[in-house]
Amino acid sequence: MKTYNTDLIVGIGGLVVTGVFGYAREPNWTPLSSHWPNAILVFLLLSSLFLLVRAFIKPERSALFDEGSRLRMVGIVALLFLWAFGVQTLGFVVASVVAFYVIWLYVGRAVIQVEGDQQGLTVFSHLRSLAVIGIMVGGFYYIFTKFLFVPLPKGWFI
Amino acid sequence: MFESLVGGLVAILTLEALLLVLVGTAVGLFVGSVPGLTATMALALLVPFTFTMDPLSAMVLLGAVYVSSMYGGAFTAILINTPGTPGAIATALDGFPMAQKGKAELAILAATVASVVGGVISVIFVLLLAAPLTSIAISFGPAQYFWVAVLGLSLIAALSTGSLVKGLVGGAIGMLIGTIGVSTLGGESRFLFGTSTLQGGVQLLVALIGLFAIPELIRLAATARKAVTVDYSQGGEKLSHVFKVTVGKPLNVIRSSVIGLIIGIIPGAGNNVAGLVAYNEAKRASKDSDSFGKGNVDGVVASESSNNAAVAGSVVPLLTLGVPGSPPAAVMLGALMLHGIRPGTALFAESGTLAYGFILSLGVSAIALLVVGVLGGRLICRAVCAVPLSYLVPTIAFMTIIGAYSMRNSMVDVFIMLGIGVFAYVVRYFGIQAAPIALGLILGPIAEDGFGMAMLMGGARYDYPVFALFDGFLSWVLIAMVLLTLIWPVVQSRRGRKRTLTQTE
Repeated sequence: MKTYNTDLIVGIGGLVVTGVFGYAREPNWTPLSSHWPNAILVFLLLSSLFLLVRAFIKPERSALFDEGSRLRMVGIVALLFLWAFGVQTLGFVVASVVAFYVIWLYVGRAVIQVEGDQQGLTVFSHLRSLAVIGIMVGGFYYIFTKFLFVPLPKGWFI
Repeated sequence: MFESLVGGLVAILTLEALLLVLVGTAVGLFVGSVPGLTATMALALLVPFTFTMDPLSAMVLLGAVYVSSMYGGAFTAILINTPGTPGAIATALDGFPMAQKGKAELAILAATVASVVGGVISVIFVLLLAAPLTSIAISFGPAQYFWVAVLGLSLIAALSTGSLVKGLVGGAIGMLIGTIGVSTLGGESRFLFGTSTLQGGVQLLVALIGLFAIPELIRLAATARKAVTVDYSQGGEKLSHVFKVTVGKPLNVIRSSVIGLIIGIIPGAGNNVAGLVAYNEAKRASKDSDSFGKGNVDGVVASESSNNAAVAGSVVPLLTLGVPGSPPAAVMLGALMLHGIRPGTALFAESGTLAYGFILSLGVSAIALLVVGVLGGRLICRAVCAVPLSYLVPTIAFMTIIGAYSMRNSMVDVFIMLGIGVFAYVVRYFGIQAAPIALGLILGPIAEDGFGMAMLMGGARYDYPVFALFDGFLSWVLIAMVLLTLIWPVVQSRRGRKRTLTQTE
């Protein structure tokens, strides 16, 4: 398996973070507000430089994103963000039911693929999942809005 | 004192009080085990329900919720690597690796027993030593807060699997995230990147959910294999074995409970710091310190006994000084005042039955955890292990989204949580673990406040304000502990090398 120089990656990443946060500092901060972040930034800069030096002398190398399917990694992250956007536009309940069902289907198919289950997802399992999702989302919606007084987001629907 | 103590004991051993303990324990367990729901939130919601109760019943109910919510955080920490409360962060460090090795039930039951023992030990200490313990709370100034935070941060050295420098980079990134928002000392807004949505900063629990739950979620979906399985073919975990591994090493439980109690007493330090410091000390004292972070039950025991002991600790300054040691204790202070009770040194003389009854009820609540935890813990463990992965992944996602949102009723927190989660997942492959980032995030603000306030005070007292950091005996004790924590891994590795050499010879 191909391995990568992680010291180089973290060193460059550390410099980028230092640069981004360093650039976001403002000159009108009082010493009380600026000393601590400045100290952290200096520390981060030195650590990153150390890693960069080590990257060319005795680097640490490791394989990246080698656990499971990379496609599913990207897929699940995309679904999570779509879920969050959906909550804002469709409303908490509708977006959660849809996203929950899609992830159930997505992961369910992946499990079948990995474990080689021949039976697959039956109509009954789809109906059961919809019932479970309905109870779960509805139940939490009820508890949060009625008992915990958390106003869950509404969009086009609830 | 003795009369009030007996009066308090009699008052809480009624059927009504015991029922309130059970109800409070159940509510607290639910709150603690849902990432995003906090003990403070649950207590604030329960306060109106206590209006019609007598003051002691009200405090018994609130105390039970507080105690069990601390314990409830361990369930998700162990089973899905997501601390339900910030106090359970150190529990996840060894609890989840134990679960991955098929020892989830042992981890949960050990957490239960440790929580009970920690709770009971701390109540005994509070009953016997309330007055001297109060003096500890008073003796903590900004410099001591700073050193406590540094002591916690020195844990990065212990937590960094692989490269220490990468662990330090993670800690620095965590501390930087902690500086986002309005500075508590200077009042300026920092690192808003041109948007006002970051004005309120990054909520600790939102970041913790992102750091621990989201990477696990992505990993589960990517591998399509469950991380936690338990083999029940040999039957469940025997309680005698659980007690053996937990109480069999009494030094670990007692030391962790005392650490939890003392840190709980210090207003503002909180049980998350208690868990981390106790974990660090347990690792340092262990002969098998290399196995910490890889599924050593002693790590779970240390974390859970200390974060539960911190609960009783936080009520010491509340009852004796009227100063709450933690946000939940602040809500309880409000509840006391609503019932016309004014906390302070006179409370023990004027309303001794209430004061002692409340402290004793924390012990009863801790004991109630044993019943609820052993039965409920086994059930929850089996349920989570039995749930198919296709349900588990969206359920965790659902809980993280609703949990992050409910912190401030804001979708911004959900996006922050997802962003931090994806970041944590990616950097894990580069050698930066979530734990050092979380440590920086938790302890950075405490260190900054302590440092800034010590500098202000030092400016008035010394030519060089930095001298203020070395004021007082307590500072030197803490500095010695920091140095010991940093030097200890080197000493241990030399010892190990010597031992190996001797064996080879």
